Amino acid sequence: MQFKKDEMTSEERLTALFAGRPVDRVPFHGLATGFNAINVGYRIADFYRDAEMGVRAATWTIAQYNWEKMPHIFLGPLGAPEFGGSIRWPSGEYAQAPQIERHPVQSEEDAMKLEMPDIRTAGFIPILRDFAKHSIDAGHPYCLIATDELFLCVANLCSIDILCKWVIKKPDLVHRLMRIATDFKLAISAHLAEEIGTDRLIPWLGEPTTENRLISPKTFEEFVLPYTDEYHEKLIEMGYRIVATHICGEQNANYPLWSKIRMGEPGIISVSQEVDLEDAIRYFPNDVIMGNLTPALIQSGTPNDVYEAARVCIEKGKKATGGFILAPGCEMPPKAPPYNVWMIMKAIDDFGWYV
Amino acid sequence: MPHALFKKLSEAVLKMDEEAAVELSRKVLDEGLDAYSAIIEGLAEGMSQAGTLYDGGEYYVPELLLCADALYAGLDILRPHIKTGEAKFRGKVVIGVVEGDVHDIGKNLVKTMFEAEGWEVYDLGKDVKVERFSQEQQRVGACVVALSALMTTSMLAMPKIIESVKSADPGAIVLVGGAPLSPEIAAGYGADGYADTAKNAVVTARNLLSASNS
Amino acid sequence: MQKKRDSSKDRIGCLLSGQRIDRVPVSTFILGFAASATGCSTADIYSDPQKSFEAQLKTRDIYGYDSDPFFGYASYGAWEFGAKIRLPHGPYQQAPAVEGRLPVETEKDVEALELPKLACDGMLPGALPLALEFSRLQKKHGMRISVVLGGSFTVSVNIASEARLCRWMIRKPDLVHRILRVVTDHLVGVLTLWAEIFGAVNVVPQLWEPAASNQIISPGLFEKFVLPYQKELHEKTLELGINHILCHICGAHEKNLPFWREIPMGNPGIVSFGTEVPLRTAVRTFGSRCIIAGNIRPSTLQTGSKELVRTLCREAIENAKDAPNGFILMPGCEMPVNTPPSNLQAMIRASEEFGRY
Repeated sequence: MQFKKDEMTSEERLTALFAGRPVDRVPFHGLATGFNAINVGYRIADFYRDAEMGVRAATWTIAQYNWEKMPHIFLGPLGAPEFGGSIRWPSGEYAQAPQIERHPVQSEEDAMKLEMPDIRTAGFIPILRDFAKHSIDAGHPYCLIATDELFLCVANLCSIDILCKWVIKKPDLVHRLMRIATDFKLAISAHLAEEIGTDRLIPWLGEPTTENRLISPKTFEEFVLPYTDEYHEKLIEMGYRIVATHICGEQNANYPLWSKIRMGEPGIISVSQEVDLEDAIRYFPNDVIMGNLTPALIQSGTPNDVYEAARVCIEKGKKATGGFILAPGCEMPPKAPPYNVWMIMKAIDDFGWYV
Repeated sequence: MPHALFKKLSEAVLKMDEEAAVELSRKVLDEGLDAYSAIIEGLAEGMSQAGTLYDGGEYYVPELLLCADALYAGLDILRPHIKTGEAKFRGKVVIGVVEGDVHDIGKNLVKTMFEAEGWEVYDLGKDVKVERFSQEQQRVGACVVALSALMTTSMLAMPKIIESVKSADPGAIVLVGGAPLSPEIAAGYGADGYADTAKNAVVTARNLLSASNS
Repeated sequence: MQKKRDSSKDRIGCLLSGQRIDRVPVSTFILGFAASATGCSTADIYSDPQKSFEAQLKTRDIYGYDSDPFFGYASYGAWEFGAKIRLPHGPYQQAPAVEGRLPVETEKDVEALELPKLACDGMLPGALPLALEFSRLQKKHGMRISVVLGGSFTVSVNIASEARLCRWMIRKPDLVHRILRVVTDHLVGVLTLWAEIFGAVNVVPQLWEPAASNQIISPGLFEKFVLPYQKELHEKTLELGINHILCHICGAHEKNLPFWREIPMGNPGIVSFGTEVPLRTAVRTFGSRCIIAGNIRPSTLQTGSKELVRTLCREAIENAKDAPNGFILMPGCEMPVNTPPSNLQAMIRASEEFGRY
């Protein structure tokens, strides 16, 4: 995909964006993982299991579509395999990403016995570290490495079903697990900071489990807010200037609470399709807003519908006072038709110029 | 030293002479010679030589098809006279063209070569659903499953078939062949063997089988 | 998105008219691949000219290769001579296939074989009404008109089956000659019709000949059964005023090349080869009078790495770029439906990187 008049390289564009300076056009991030794999002829599991293949697939796909040079990996079950649970790698026609097979915490007793794993070697952590390393080696100015949020981590430890019950029946236990999750995530972040550095590595903090179809804003305020506040503060203290928070799903009622948390300098706020971009901009006027094309539309919509949806996002996003990245509201569907993706890029070429 | 009649039978197949194959097969029976030896040392030997000529670029598909016609004409006469317990099948093979593909001329030649070599062949035909191969392999207890594809799209069904055959019987040997395949692709798909010609398919099956038995 | 082409960017057009171009053009037989690239069904590519045309245009928009949308299918003949066909469906099918009885299964069928009626008022057989609609879309968009047919032998195989034709060539040669006669007359009839409707100079027919490859028949049988009819077909095509034939010499034809050399292709023709024929041989044999096209192995495009595709394209370009009438980088046959998009991209990049003039 060649743009009419790109005046900046991807590195210049991203650097300017994060420094609050003007950019030539709206940048695009694909939030692509399995899509990258299929695009280059790999199995989806290859992307997640082999960091070198993953970065290669991302690099080729980014170059092919002229996306921003910021490879991205997320391993949703993070927390489960590191504490002794098991996961299943994606296989077959319909699987999209790794999934948890067995949660490490099945009972209160299990929760009390949890011990911090070896951060250097446990579960997914070496993959995250290697992915970041290969990204930087491949010349990408930034990479988004999903260390993810805390409530998600607790849900991965004990399952969302049990967590929802314990929130009401065993609040102390939930606080204990949130404490463990906070310490665990900070330990991973410190390890990555030491091994990779904080200049190019942007922590990607995905949080789908606090969505308001699962928990109330009140629960968020009581269990999520204090730990998340501490987590973000300490990340920034560690030297992670830019932090990306993916507020996944229907969290309109949580936005006032999220907006109390320090998000980075700037933060990247990845907005789901359930939230209006204009609302997100209002809550986070100083941060970079990222979003929020509906993934299912990219997969199944007509090219014209995708183009129109992209246009609407671009028009709204260009008004973001802290800057804007066009992106899907969640992961790019692995089987999105290439033409629909191309139509998004065409919409940027037609409507996304600032100059 | 094969009997002179067997040698003539072999020549009849090689020379695509269906009538001579019929006539000579009858003569084998009239003279009270062993039908099984006539098949192996006569008809099958002729087919094997035809395969060699194909590999050397002297014979092409039309010639092979007519050799096969002569082979089958002889087999029809001799087979009913094989003494019970005498015929030692080399093994059982399930063969077919994979789902989405109707090109079966290559598969039919491979089948002929297997039959000529004394294998018991279960032919599933063309455009065969993924799960049918494993079902048939289980049903008949075949030691080899042979898959054919001519299209780049249909060859994508092969890894699934191999997976289903192997998960039901890890010891089963799977061979693949067809224009878009290569040894590398075959290995990537998890096949035990690949063959570029009909004759080589049988040789490969035989070698893999004896390696797995030893 | 639909616009007339800027003629200076029509690299293949420039090659046909002997003009200089900036780099090696990339052309592909893209059919089912366009369905997966745009999210429509593979069956639409073969049964709905409008959708097929749009899907192919969109796919070209994404990747920026040089060839125009076209309509065609390799089993041409059976449907047109009265058989039923089944459109592709399911995850592993790639193209339409004959269902049930073939037009020729017995010797009597050969005697009874008749030319299908050809008239442009809706009386066209088989896929030809769809092909005609597609060609009208090509005309509307200012493109060359590309009616796609098999060679005489391949169409005969599609009518009577490979195995039957193979046996009859040796046992009943007269029957084969009769089928080839009828088929050749039919193909000339179709091309005459297209020349009348669209103007001969605007038509660049594609004649695909996979069945006569040396994977199936010997050079001796080629000379006897394929050469005379294919030669006649090409001669009559050019007599109509058609200037260029795209002849896809599909598969292992190396031993047939001396015979193919006797067949006129136009001025210049385009001869496209499978991986089985080395491009240096192709240039040596046809380069002085034809544009050479080929020959990246389709299964490598589907299963190979991007680096491997890049290497093969570089080698192909190095071997054929300086052919006197030009070179078109192309897959050796249809672009596999499941080719990873980045491998197609790699072909275009290779041409940009290594194919500059």
